[in-house]
Amino acid sequence: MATSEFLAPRLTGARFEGHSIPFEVLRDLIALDDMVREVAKHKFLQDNPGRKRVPKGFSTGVRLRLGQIEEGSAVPKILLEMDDSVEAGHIQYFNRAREDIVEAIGAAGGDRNLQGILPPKALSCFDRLGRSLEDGEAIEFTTAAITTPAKLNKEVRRKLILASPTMTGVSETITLRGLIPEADQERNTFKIRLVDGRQIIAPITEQHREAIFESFNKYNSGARVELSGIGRYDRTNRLVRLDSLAEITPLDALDVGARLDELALLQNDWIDGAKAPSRPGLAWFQSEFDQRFDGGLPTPHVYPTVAGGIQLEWSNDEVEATLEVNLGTKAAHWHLVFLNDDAEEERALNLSSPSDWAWLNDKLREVFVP
Amino acid sequence: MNDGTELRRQVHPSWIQNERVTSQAFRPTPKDKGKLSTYHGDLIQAKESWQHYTGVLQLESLGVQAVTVLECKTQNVMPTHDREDYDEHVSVDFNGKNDSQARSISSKLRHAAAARGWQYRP
Repeated sequence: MATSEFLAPRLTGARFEGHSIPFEVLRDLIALDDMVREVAKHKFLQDNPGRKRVPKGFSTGVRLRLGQIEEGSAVPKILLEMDDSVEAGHIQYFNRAREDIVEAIGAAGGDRNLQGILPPKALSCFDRLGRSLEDGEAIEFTTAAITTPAKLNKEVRRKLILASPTMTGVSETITLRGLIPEADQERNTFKIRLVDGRQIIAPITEQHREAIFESFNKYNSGARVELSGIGRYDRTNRLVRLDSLAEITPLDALDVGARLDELALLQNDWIDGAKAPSRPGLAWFQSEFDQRFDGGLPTPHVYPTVAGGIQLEWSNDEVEATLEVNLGTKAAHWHLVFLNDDAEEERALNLSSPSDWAWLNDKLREVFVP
Repeated sequence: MNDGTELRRQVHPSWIQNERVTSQAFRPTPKDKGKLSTYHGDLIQAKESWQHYTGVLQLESLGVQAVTVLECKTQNVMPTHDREDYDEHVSVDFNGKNDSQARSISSKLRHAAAARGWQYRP
């Protein structure tokens, strides 16, 4: 059996900074194995136009393996393993397949023509490769011949998938929040109604059946849930359904993500002369809040400000606290007033800074946790 | 208008979350020129004020809360029955207050209004 180094893609983004790779991303990488095999077969048949199929063992005797994860964000070292039964010369098809895949990624990233680089079946494998990539994350590929990294991110992946004429859309891991107004036991599906009124159909899975029906039964009391799973988008980037459901979580009445979803629908002039909060700004805040806010502390109420920011508020019988956030500069203004003696505290915070989030958590703990 | 007169304040839908109203509803926005608009509670009931605000003025409100004249005076923001725009109009004057003072005052007025509860919810 012969083993050779095949690829060492570099995963970039906050999730990979600890030199580790989440399982869901590893699962995505498995698609690379199918893709390489598909392209290698295509190459072989191109070189051998008289043949209708590849030799026995051509693909079953060759496999990709994960070697180790090297440092540098996270770099999984992928090895090509070839059984002795496979003709040694066939390795060239797998190596050429690798070059074509990386070339196609680079071409999509550089807005170059993708025509003819990969067969449609291989392009459709991108529907699994990189499916769990989030905004700001990428998988960078280089080879001995292609030294400028070809970056596979959400946008590039979408271009590659849609370059295949057989693909009707793109799938991505997504998180949705909303109510469950409908569940169909015959079809084994349910609908989630998003804050903007869209209703998305999703499968009822045995594992989540109880949670789905519990939320369905609480529809009239406004019980919202958060779903995560694989979403299916059409060619116009419209979410059409959830292909699979990974998790369902009932949401707190004050859930900040659900509230930010509502605020994202505001338009300029929502109140006389007011600016609407920007969607990228809200997404940034939600990500920071999810990472840095101590979930054991009281959840804030969140309101839009006329300046296009948001204001978080906490209160009890003795104090009123506000944190006004500028979503553009990421600066925040903390204000605390004691109702009985008129004492107050103020502080300017930078919410890009983990230490300022730590200060906020400490302050809230001091004031609101007995 | 006496110290006990309730000053009715209309609340925009986005400034209500789970029945709680933001303190921003109790301070003027930049376009208000330092004056918070309210309805004179001795002259108009909460429901009628809401009907006037949404029907005649064609503005958005999802409920009415109230603070008293005394609560405003205690915070040194003086109410004046100025009849601007409509007969029951009372302005609460925040002019001369800096941003920090306005935040404190609005937080305290919010607290007082919350303790009083909704005057009207459509």
